Order: sequence, then structure tokens, then C-alpha cells
Amino acid sequence: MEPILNDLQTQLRDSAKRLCKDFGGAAVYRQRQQQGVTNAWQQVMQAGWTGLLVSEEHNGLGLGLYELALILDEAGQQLWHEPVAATCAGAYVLSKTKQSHHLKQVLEAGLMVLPVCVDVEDTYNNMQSAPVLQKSGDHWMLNGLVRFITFVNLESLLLISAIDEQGRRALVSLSAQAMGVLLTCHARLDDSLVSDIEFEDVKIQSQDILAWDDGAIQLIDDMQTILRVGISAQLLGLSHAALQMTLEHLRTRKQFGKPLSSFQALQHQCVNGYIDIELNRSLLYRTSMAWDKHQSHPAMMSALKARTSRSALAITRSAVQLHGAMGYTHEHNIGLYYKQAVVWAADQGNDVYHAQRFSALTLNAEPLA
Amino acid sequence: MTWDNTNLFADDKPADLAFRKEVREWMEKNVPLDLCHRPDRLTPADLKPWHRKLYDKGWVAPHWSKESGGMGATLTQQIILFEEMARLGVPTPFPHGLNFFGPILIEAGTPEQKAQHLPSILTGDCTWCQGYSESEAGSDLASLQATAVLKGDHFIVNGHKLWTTNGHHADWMFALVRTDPQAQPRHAGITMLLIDLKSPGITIEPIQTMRGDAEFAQEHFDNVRVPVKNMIGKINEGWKIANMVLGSERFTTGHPRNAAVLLNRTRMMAEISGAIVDPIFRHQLAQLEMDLLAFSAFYHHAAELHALGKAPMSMAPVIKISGGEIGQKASELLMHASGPIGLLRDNLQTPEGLVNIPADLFEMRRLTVGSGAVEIQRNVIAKRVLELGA
Repeated sequence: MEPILNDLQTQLRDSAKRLCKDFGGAAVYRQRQQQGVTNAWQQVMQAGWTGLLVSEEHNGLGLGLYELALILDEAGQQLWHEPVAATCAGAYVLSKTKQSHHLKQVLEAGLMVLPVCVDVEDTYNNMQSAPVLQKSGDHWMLNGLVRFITFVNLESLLLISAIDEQGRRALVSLSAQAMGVLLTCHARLDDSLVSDIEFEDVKIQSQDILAWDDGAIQLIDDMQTILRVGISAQLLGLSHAALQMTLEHLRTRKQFGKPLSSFQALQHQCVNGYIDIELNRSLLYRTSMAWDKHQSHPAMMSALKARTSRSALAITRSAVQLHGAMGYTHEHNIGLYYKQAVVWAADQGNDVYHAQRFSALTLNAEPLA
Repeated sequence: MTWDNTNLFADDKPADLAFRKEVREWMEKNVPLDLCHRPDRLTPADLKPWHRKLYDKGWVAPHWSKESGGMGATLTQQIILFEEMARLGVPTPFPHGLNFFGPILIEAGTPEQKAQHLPSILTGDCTWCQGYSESEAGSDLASLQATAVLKGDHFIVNGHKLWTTNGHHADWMFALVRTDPQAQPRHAGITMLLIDLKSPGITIEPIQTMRGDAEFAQEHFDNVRVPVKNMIGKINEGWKIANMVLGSERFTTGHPRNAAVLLNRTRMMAEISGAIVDPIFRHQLAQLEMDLLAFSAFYHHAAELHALGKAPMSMAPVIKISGGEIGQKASELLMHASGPIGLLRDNLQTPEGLVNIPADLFEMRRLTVGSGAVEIQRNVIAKRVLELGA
């Protein structure tokens, strides 16, 4: 069902539709490996999206997660892959911690901010642990290794979830070009790049530790929420586009003298995908609005990520199947949706992890053993 | 933060909050405790005093206009009334007169018909049943064969009706009958008649369900005389009339709370049986709770659009399919979680009162069949929303 929008939100969605069409799509996807940073980012910055969650008082748009979800739904439909949610999350934190110099760079010079928060509770995350801070005179030293971080480039600013030797949580801001930061890149199955980041005695000034303890935990949690809702919106958009493409195929492709769309078994596969998308769409809107109104429960984000991941995998799997042998080719675009679904379904925690997290957050009954 | 799955994404506006408070206070004082959380099936006779009490309060027909004797409530108010009754586990009055036939009568009845029937629907003095299905007309309702032949100022009705909820308790039936056997398409030869079930020539047999009680009945009509004044609308317009009121009752029969109650019972039984420590059980429960959360979001989104007059055609079948299937899966997980104790036929005394696990399991089977099987609902979405067809 359609979202309920005011005029501003309608304009925002329309412009997102245009921009994502211009800068996204299958052709752009296919050139990912050659591109690096595209000139789309300039447009993203000019549209004000990087400051979407930053209050107007700090020169942002003062909007919410609901509006970000509207944009990223469009991005997902076009397989458009830019660190919008990441930078929105980063800019949000910079504004909350009064990092006005960096914030200005994000809003006016296109600085990308990347949360580096390995989720130590994620049972599928290769048992990663947070980098460690050690006090050294008047400053700190950071050591550790984090893996599979998306979108890292040398110009970006990292917001790192770290711990000190006593296990206190800290949020550290650090340029990716700082001495002792080593990046190793890997290509993924969707031709996107991820980086392993090694921190080797990286010098951290006290003023670059943005928050400690509960304050840090809250900000890290906010960033993870924004990233989870953001990628869920992309998964929803992707699912919608893959379903539409499949419906069009069923209407036009004929076998046994009639269109595939006349076969009930195929119709019902599509209907199941459609119902999943409809429920997830409402869940995306209601969850993001609840966060904007400070009425959300953290389990909601896990339900959203789990369901959008599971549906996107089911819908794109069915989409490839219903395209027959064509669906299995490199040439046909439907395969791109499948690959992207596999990657986004795993990013920010897969559906099984989020079901576990949901269960832990909602099931009050403690196990007896 | 506590998780209340009966109240997900509920978001009352200030005026609605005041109404909810008023309803809650009144319900807590007035609900008949002997009807609350009953695992056995209640008959219209059991519900009559409660129906009457709601009528006296003016809340029995929230969705009817004030001129017709209803409350003229907003959709949100209707939902609040349902939720506050569900919260206390008291049944809502039977829907056949109030929700299914009443709105048709208000929309298409003559002043005489309204004067005759609306008051007794409101007070609950008259029990109605819906005479649509037949043995050869279930999902394919337009193939119905019970006939009505016009003779002077009467129709002569012959044939049978089947799967009639409360047929054996009802005083009157609103029925679809064939008045033109040659009509093409078939639904153009159907008329709606109101049949007094005390008329000569009618035999009614209750039918046992798999739950072991009689929820529905079948009726045989042997030359039953029905006065022409009991026809709703014109002859051969019955199909259109039956479909004109597709209303807000989706928001009560399809309320996510129905599945929430079952999931909470599942959790309780898992604590009793010990299944709660099983990580695989917990995962299954989490999956259903997440489905329920998404369905709740859809439900409230739909209610908001419905109130703005912008709900899409797909809303009703999606609520029907999702609500029904989540409820069914919940009843299956409930049986699974209960272990051997769940198999016992008698009611169980639990910390939450009497429960009957087999009754829950069997009762849920009807959700995906009654008033339009989910396969038909999927066909409707395929053809009318996704534009898939021959």
C-alpha cells in the first residue's frame, strides 16, 4: 500500500525516484568494478540527503528515518549502491557529538562517513571483536582488525566502535588515511568492494573519542538502527523491482500456446511475493516512524531486517526460476537482483541472526537451563 | 522494554485515547465474567444478555449510522471497541445480523423491511444466518442452484443451503437463490430473499465440525413460500447486492490480536511443557512473532488508509490471507509447544484460565476456508492486482 505522505515527503520521493533512475540501474551495476566513487555522490550531497537526519539547527534537513526509508526503497529498486545510510548515520552522530568541522565537510564537501561497528553478538560475523584502545601518555593507541567493511576509501572518515582494556565502550573518529591504518580490499559476488581494516598502533587524540560507555553504546546503537533500516528499505525496493520484472515476463512469455501468466501455480508464487512485500512495506514505514517518534523497540529493527532479507531471497529466487534458462544467464538482468539480494540479505546481519536477536529481545521467559 | 504483541503499532490520537479510556472503564465494570476466555463454543442464546447490554449502552452497532440506530463511529473507534473486548476475552456479538446483513439492509432495504428487521438485529432478539453456500457452490458461489419461482405475491423456494453458521439457532436467513436458470453470466440470475426459518417446508440439521461441536447446519427447502415483500432490491440483482457492502468488518475478524492471543498461549504452554528452553522452538516462535509484527503494521496502515477512503482493493484479501495463515501457524505451534498435554480432549486449567488446545487447532482450520478460501483470494490478487490472467 502507498505510504501516507505530506507534500515535502512526496517531493523527496519523486526526486529520489529520478536521481536513482539516473545514477542507478542494471547498466551502472555492471560497471561497478571500474567505477570507484561515482559522480552520483555529488548529487546525493547537493540533494541534502547526507544531512537528512541532521537537525536544521546543524544545517541538515531535520527529517527522519521514514524519509530515509522512502529514498532507499527507490535506490533498492535501481540496485543503486552508495553509502547513503552509512553517511546519514555518521552525520547524525557527528551532529549529536558536536563535531562541527567534520559535519561541515560531510554536508558541503561530500565527505563520506562510515560506521565501523562489528556486531560482536552476530553469530555469523566470523567471531570478530572490537578494536582495542590503550592509554599512552596524553593520547590513546588503537589496535585490532575489523573485516568486511563496505564502501571504505581513503577519503572517508571512520566512526569506530572500540573498547578499552577494561572493556569500556568508546566511539572513535578516525580518518582512513591515518598512520597505521591498513586497508585490504576484496571484491564480492555483486562486484562491490569490502575492506579489512587493520589498526596498528594508530594514535588517537582524546578529542577524537566522541563518547564513552552508555553514551557511546547509544550512538553505536543508533548507527546500527539506521544502517539496518536503510538496507531493509533497499531490500524491499529490490524485491519490488524483481517482482515487477517477473510479472512482465509472465504476461508476455508464451508456452503451450498461452501466456505463462495464465498458470495458477505461477500466479500464486507471485501473489505470495506480493503479500510479503506489502507486509514488509508497512513494517518499514511503521518501524521507521516509530523510531522518529522515539516509540520504537529495538526488536522491531531485527524483525524488519529478518523479514526483508528472507523475502528478498525468496522473491529473487522465484524470479530467476520463472525466467527459465534466460534467468540463469549473465546477460539477463534478473540475475543481478538475485546477487544483490544475497549480499544485502547478509549485510548488517542475516535473517537467522536477526530472528535470534528478536527472540532474545522479546521472549521474557528465561530458559531454565 | 517490554514487548506487548497485542498492541503493536497502535497509536491513538488524543480524542481516541479518551474514547478508549471510557470503553475500558465501562467494559471492566460490565463484561459478564462467565463468558470471558471460554474455550467452548458459545451459542447466540448464550450471548443474548451481553448483546442486549451493549445495545443499551449504544455500542452494539458502532459501524451503523445514527439514523439506522447505530453509533456512527469512526473506524478507529470500531477497532477500539473490538480491542477492549478482546483484551478482556469477552466475545463480540455474532456478526451475521450486525455486520453482514445489517449494512445490506440499510443500503438496499425498503423502509418497511428496515422497520421490521433493524430493531431486532440491534437488540439481539432476532438471530440471523447467511444462506449462500451449497454443496455444489462453495468457492464457485455463482453456480448456486437453490431456486425461487415467482407465483403471484410469493416466491416458491426449493433446494438446500450448506455450511450455514448458526443455521440451527437462527430465526431468519438472508439467502441467495436462483431466479433465472438461463442467465449468462450465471451471477445475473440470482436474487436475495429473507426467509423466516419457521416457515413450513424447511428442515434444518446441525453439522458436527472436526472440533466436535455444531457450528454450522444445512437447510432443505421444500416448496417454501416467501412473500415478495421479503426480496431485497430487485429480482436478479442479488449478486450485486451481496457484494455492495465490503466493509469494515475485515478490521475486526482480521484483527492481529486474534493471532497474538494464540502466540501468547503458545509461550505459556511452552513454559509448562519445557519447550521454552529449546532454541529451535524459540526460533519458530520468533518467526511467527515477526510475521505478526509485520501484519500488525499492515493492519494499522490499512486502517489509516481506509479512514481516508484510500484503501486499495488488495487490502481485504491480504488481511484475510495473512491473518488466517498466521493464526493457523500459531495454533499449530501451540499444539507442538504443549507436548503430550496438548493432546488431551478436556479443558486444561492453566495460570491463564481454561484452555483447550485441540479446539484452538481445529478452530483455526476454518479461517482459511470460510467466506472465501485463501486460494480464491490469491486468484483475486493475481487477476485484479497483479494483472495476471489468460
